[in-house]
Amino acid sequence: MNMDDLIVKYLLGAADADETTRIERWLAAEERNRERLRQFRTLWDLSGRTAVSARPDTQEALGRLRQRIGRGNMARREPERVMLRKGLAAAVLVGLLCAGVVIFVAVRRNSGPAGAERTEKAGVTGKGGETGKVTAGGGGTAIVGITVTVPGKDTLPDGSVVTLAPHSKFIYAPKLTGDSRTISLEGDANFSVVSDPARPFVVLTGDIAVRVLGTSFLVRSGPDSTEVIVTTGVVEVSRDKDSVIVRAGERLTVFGKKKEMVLRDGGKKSAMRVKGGNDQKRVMRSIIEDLVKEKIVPDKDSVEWFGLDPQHFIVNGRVMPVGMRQLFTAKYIKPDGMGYYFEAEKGGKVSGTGYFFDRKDLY
Amino acid sequence: MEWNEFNKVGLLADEGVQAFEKVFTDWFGHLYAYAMSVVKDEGIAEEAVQAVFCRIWEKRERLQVHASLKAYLYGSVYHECMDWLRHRKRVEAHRRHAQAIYTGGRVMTESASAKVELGELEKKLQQAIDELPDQCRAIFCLSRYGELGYKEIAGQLGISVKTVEAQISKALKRLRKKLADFLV
Repeated sequence: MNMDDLIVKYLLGAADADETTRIERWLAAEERNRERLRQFRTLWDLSGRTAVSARPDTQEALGRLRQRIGRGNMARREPERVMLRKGLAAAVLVGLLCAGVVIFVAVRRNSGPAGAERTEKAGVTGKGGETGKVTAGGGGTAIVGITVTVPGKDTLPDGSVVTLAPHSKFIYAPKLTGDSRTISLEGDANFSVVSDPARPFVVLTGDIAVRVLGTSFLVRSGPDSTEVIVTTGVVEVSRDKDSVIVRAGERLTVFGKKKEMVLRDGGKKSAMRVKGGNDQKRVMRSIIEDLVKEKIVPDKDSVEWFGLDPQHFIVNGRVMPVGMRQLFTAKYIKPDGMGYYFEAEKGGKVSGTGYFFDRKDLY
Repeated sequence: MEWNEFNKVGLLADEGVQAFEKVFTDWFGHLYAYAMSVVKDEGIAEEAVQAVFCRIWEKRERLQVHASLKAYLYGSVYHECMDWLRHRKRVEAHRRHAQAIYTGGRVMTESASAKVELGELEKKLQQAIDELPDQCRAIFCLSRYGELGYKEIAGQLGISVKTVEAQISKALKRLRKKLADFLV
């Protein structure tokens, strides 16, 4: 064993009897050796002291812990993990900034691990909107304070942690104030969100808003589509006026140009929910009118649910005769085979591949 | 408060919450200082400690601790910090200006350094500690700030006592080499 290793061992009281004898003999031999031991001892003692530098106030830290665990009462609160990936948000970010920033002050400071550079912008809204309230779609109030461009972990004022990938950035209001905690993201980031039902956590990617309703999920977005895959819990994905609730095990794909949202059940790959547009809504209303005309139901309000696709025609739980099915499929089912599914209220009674609507969507 | 006592109280009861919070207030400062020495970032350091306590809280009903509370806490913070450093490394690998970032030296943020006036030697030592390889630094500081014995460290980190010994030795040797001129 190297003498230095032995000194260290001796210093830390880990040397055995033989080693101790050896080192004591060595120390006795020369002043230089004793000097060496002193150096190690100084380092050892000093290194224990330098540790105690500034630290955050323990009571404040306890407050943050309580908040994380459950607003002061320590009720269980799971952190939620969110992964967001964004491909096309550059334009959006520019849009957001232009929409409302009247003045901003750029402050540079050295912070973060390893002297990483970070830019901070203190923002003021142009339309007198609330700082931190950002809505998707480009037209809303959109102002934001702090821009983070340094890859790595950042703790937001609410205790949520964002881990930013390289070449990415996110913007948030300085204190994340407002009714919701809104983050605008360009690039990829991992979110560990502190749950706060009163103030939902919203991540904006382009014109898509992902609202955390208490869950863990993954968002992947490329130039043509964005995918939201939910592992646990529920998220709400919205675009313009459309919104879709995505539950555990489901995967939602939002297509860029077609303005379509496709919901797949993770377990049953064949089932696919598509958020239809106005064309599909018209078809849906027409089907319901035909149900009344064919006297399958007395009036449109009597339709509890139905499913119409190439293989099935079921209304309020009754399987329709084949002839009736053919009549309806011939009229409404296009070669793409997409079905039409209706539920008076959202409830997951119907499954299949096609367009799903409830009464509120249609009337 | 030792773990047994802490555990015995039962974290579900009101006293359990108090016990939990007491453990937090008793240990936060120490654990934070240790985390700080490893990750060198106030936010991340606090996050590491907070995450450990959140997990303890979540697992409170089935948590089994076979070591002292102190060793368990320090060990958990160590893992938390190392995870972060590993993540950081992956991220940094993508960045060309990684060198610029890790040239080190900067230990504390402005607010911290303003509060603490370190002697020249201490500053140099702190700098040298920062420049130690991640695992070496983490283990060294665990022994230094956590005042954990080799066996405790080895047990918590799932490595051999020999490895712990070697890392601490390596750390001290490097520090001495760097600071020899300043050590009288």
